[in-house]
Amino acid sequence: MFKPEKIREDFPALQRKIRGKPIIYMDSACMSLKPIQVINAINDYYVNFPACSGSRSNHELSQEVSERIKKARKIIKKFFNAPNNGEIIFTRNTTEAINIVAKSLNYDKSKVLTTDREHNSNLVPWQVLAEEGKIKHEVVKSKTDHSFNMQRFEKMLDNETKLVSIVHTSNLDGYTTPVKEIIKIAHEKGALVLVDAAQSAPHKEINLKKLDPDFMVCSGHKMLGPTGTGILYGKKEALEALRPFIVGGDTVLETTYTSHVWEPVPQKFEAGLQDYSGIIGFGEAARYLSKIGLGKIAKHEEKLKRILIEETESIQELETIGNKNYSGIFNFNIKGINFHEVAGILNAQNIMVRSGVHCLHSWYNAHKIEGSARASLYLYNTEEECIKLAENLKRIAKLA
Amino acid sequence: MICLIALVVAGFLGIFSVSYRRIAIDAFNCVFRNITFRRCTSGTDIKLKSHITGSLLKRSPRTARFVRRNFEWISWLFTLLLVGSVIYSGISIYNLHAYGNCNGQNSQEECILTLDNPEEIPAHCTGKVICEDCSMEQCGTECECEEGKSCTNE
Repeated sequence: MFKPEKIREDFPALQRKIRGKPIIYMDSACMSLKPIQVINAINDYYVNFPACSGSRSNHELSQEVSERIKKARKIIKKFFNAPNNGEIIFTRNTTEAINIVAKSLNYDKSKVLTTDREHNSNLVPWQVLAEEGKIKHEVVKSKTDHSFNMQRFEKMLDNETKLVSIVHTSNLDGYTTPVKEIIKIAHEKGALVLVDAAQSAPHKEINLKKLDPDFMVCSGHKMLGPTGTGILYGKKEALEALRPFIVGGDTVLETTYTSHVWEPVPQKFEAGLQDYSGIIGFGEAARYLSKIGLGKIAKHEEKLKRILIEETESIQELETIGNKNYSGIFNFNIKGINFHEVAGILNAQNIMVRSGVHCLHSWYNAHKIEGSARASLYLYNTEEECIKLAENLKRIAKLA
Repeated sequence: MICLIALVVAGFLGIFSVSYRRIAIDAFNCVFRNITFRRCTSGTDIKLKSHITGSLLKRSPRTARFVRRNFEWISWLFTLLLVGSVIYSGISIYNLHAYGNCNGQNSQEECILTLDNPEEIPAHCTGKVICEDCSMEQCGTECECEEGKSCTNE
C-alpha cells in the first residue's frame, strides 16, 4: 500500500515550517528532496571511512570505500535492469554524461538527431559540434499536439545518422517519448541511441534490457540522491568505442613519458578522485526507490495530476503548456499575470514551484511563449497539497 | 521604476535590517543595469510585488487585487512618506542637538526626543531638568525636586 503520509516522515525538509506553516514542495523536476536514509549514507562516508578508494590506497578504510562504491554501482545497475553487457559510469550529472558521449564519439557518420523539446543539456553539445563542423545536427519537430512525430523521424533518419539523442520524459510537460520504438527503428538504420532519462528515471520503471538503448543518462539529484551525481549507462561495446575526453588520474593502468594504457570501462571514464559520498548516497536513493516501487510512484503521480486537472478545470484564465497527459508535471500560465509573479505569490503561501523557461529556451522561443510556472509532483506530494495548489491558483486568477 | 523605489526604501531600511539590505543590493543591480541601458534580469520588482500580493492574498483577496493593480502608485506614495519622514526626523534631530528641543528654538511643545544628561541635573532635583540650580524661572515646570525639598521661585 502506497502511503505518502508515511513516506513524508523520511524527509526532514518536509518537517520544516516556514512562517509557521508546513511547506508544499512541488519543484521535484528541478531537484527532489532527500530522505534521511540518503543523508545518513552520505554522512556514513564522512564519519566512518572518509578515505580514497582502493584504486589509490590499500588500507582498511580504502577497501571499505571501494566496497561501497561497488555496491552502489550494483544497486543502480539492478535499478535499471541493465544487461550484463552494460556498464554504469558515474558522472556529476546528466549534462556531463551527455557531454562525455558528445565529445568522445567517433563521428564516422555525421548526422545527430534530437527532438524539438530537448533540455539545453541535450541541445547545446550538439550545436557546438555542428559549429565545429564535426556533425550535422537536425531537429525532429513534434506534432501539433506536442507528441513525437514518428513519421517525420523515420524520414529524417538515414544511413548517415550516427546518433539519435532523445529525451525520454520531457521536463516541459511530462510527455514520454516512445523510445522503445525509436530505438528499434534507429538500430535498424545502424544508428546509436542515447536516451536522456533525467526526468523519467525518478518516476517510472526503466528496463534497459527491454529498451536496449546504446546510452542512457540521468541525474541522482532528481531521484532522491545527492547533488553532483549522475550516471552514463552504456553498452560495453559502445563505451569501448568512445575515446574519453576527461582523462588523467584513475583512467590509466600505466603511463610512460610518451604513452599510456587505458583502464577498462568504466574506470577509464571516471577521471580524478570521485564524489564517493555522493555515489554512496545515490546508491541508497536507488535502493529506497526500488523498495517503494517505481510502478506505485508513477500511479501516485498520475492520480495527483488527475486531481490537479479536475480542480483547475474551472479556472478560465489557466492555460496548460505542452502535451496533455497524466504525468507528474503541471506546466501552466495564468492569463494577465507574469509566471514569475504566480510562482512568487505561491511561494508566499509556502507552495514551491518553478517559473521561467526551465532550460528549454529553444522550445519557448519557437512557440513564442515567454515562460511559465511549473509544479512537478513526486512520491511525497499528497492529494491535499494538490487541492491547496488548485485553490490558490483560483485566487491568483482573480487577481488579473 | 519599482527597482528605483525599492532601492530608496530598502536602502534606508537596510541600515537597520539585513533582509532589507539584500533587497537593496538586488534593487541597486537592477537600477545599475537600467542606467547602463541593459535589461534588468534580477526580477526584483516581480519578487517584491508577488511577495506583498501573496501575503495580502491570505488575508484579503480584494486588497491583494487592489494592491497588485496599483502597486507602482502605492509604492510611490510610501516612498514619498518615507522621504518626508526622514527629512522631518533629520530636522528634529538637528533641533534637539542645537536647542535641546526637537521642535526648535523657544518651542514649548512636547517633544518625544530628549537628551539625557544626568550629570547636569542639580543634586536636589530628580527630574530631567538641565539647570545649574533648579529654579522655576530657569527651568519652569520641568523642575522637579526630591521629596522634602522645594524649588526656588526667583
